[in-house]
Amino acid sequence: MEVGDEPLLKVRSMNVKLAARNRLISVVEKVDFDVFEGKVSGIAGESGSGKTVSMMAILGLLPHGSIVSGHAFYGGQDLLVSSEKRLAKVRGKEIALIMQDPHSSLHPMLSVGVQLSDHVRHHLKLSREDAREHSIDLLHQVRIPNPAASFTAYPHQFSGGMRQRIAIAIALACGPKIIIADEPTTGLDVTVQAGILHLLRELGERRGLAILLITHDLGVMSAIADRVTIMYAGRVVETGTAEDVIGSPRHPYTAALLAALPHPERPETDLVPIPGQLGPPGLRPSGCAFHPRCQYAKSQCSSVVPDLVEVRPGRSHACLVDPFMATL
Amino acid sequence: MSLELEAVTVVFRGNGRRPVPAVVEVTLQVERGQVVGLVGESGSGKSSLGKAAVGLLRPTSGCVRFNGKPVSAIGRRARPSSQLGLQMVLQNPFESLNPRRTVGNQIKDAMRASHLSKRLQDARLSQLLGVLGLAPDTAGKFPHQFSGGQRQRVAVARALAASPSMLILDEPFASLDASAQAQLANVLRVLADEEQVGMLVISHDLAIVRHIADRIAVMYLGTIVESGVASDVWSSALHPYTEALIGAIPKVDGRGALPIALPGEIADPANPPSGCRFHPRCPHAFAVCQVDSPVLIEASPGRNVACWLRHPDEAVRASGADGEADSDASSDEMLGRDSV
Repeated sequence: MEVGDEPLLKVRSMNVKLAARNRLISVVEKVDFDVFEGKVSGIAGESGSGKTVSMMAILGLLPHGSIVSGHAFYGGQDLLVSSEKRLAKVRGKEIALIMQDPHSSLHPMLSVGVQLSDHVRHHLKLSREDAREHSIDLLHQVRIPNPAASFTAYPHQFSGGMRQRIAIAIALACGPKIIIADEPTTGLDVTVQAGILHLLRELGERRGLAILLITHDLGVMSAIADRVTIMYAGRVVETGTAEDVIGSPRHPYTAALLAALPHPERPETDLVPIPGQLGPPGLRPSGCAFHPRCQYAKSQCSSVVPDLVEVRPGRSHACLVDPFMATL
Repeated sequence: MSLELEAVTVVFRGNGRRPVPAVVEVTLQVERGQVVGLVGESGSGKSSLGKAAVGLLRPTSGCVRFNGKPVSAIGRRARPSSQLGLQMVLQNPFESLNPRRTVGNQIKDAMRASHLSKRLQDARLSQLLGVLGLAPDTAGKFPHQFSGGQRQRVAVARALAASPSMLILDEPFASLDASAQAQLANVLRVLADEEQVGMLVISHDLAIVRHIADRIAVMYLGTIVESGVASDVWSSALHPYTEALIGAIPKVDGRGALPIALPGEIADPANPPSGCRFHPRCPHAFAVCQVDSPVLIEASPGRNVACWLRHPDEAVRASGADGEADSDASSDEMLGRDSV
């Protein structure tokens, strides 16, 4: 593990409170994670776990009235306290974003070429001609068939998988250092998903890009992530290499998630649902938020909020009971 | 007591447009208590087939029979009561539930339609909610008060309210997270085993279908390319498309094995490729595949496949083996069995 490497993006004890009616609801609490150059770092969790909100907080994209505290160190600055003007220079240029649904993230009335070249001309100050050439090259890099013809085509003329490739081309346009991919393959067929995963992994390995992958799908995580952070109810419950976290989970929530999934290589095992459900933010259980659903919960779990404990460099979990300690 | 589809073809026609054959001569059977999984990529015609099976679409040719009687397309008149036992859960629970009525009332609609007496309705309602793991106070709430997973379960409860013997579920797992998906899968399996409900489960997710289905039918561009007992199809796929679908499923072991990508995209059904519809994307395609389309043959009892590589005539297979020197080795590679 790259313990010694300095992460490109270092998020430390980040808290996010969102304004709802006339009160503040805490949706992200004390979140730490790192993003390394040339690696795919993943954040996984169910919907409502705070993974997307964390990403939006880093990019300064949260609605007005939200309160963010903590740090997100990137290139000598703290993104969480940067001015909007400075953030605007980082966002889209150095840290690019790929959204879940390219159907809604691409503009339906503008050609692919315009969406690509506007972006490049704004950040890189290229001439119209240079921008066109650069854009066609980008479409080629993400393996859009016939890039020159695609330059003048509109988003609706492409399939879901191809649209996602175009969204990736736009993200790559300004030579970012970090790409944040929020559910990049959700809603795609597995056959198409596999192609996108190959492309993302290649971007990490060949170009040394840092990728922050946000997904609820542990299969996708397992395929391309080097490191995984599991979130539950706005907190990090476990973090480590993908092999450790997915292969031998230490937190009961991670283990429960894995037990609910069909495992292609073990088709005979039963699917075990997690009892109960994650309540809405603002109505979270006391103590460890997972305790009402946890089969290992003890009395202390309902009153004490477990801190993230580092068991060895780069491997942490937040569980008071730690039921899998003996098996490791 | 079964659902039979015989050579069902569904063609969509529009003004001045080329007709779109979404389903081409599909023959399929679902027995009571049996779960049949229908899998394939989006655009393969699975949903059209499902709608034709309940009568939401009128087949262009072929016929659908439920318990031996033909299923009539839904029109303005009430359905014959013999078809009440055939129910469907539509794909999107955000659109298929009425946003302005409580879910309890919507579930009771199906009971009224099946002439369940009023005094039994409340008991049946709470029983259904219990079976699907929904809280008892669910009945008084409106659809917007639920998560996607809960809405999906409400939609299943509504379909079950008519006490069907045959259920068609279109992408029931699509909007669910892992835990809700596991829960619904288990509920469906119990319904099949204990109440003998037959099910046609339409899904793009072969991994979850493998878990609950007795049989699997794989569909590509309107036709069934392979069918058989679920565990057989999974462990020894005969059609290259089935192999590709299985190989594309990511393994959840944290070892970083990339799933195998299938090149190309499903073709436009209005303009399907010549010969075998899968040949432009098939890693084993040879000369015959481009010209003639393979027919569905019985490879072993209960196991059907439409692929020239599985043709009973050795001469046909051999003509392919020339171009594809070692097709067994490459199929292992496609499945990613030995990849790191």
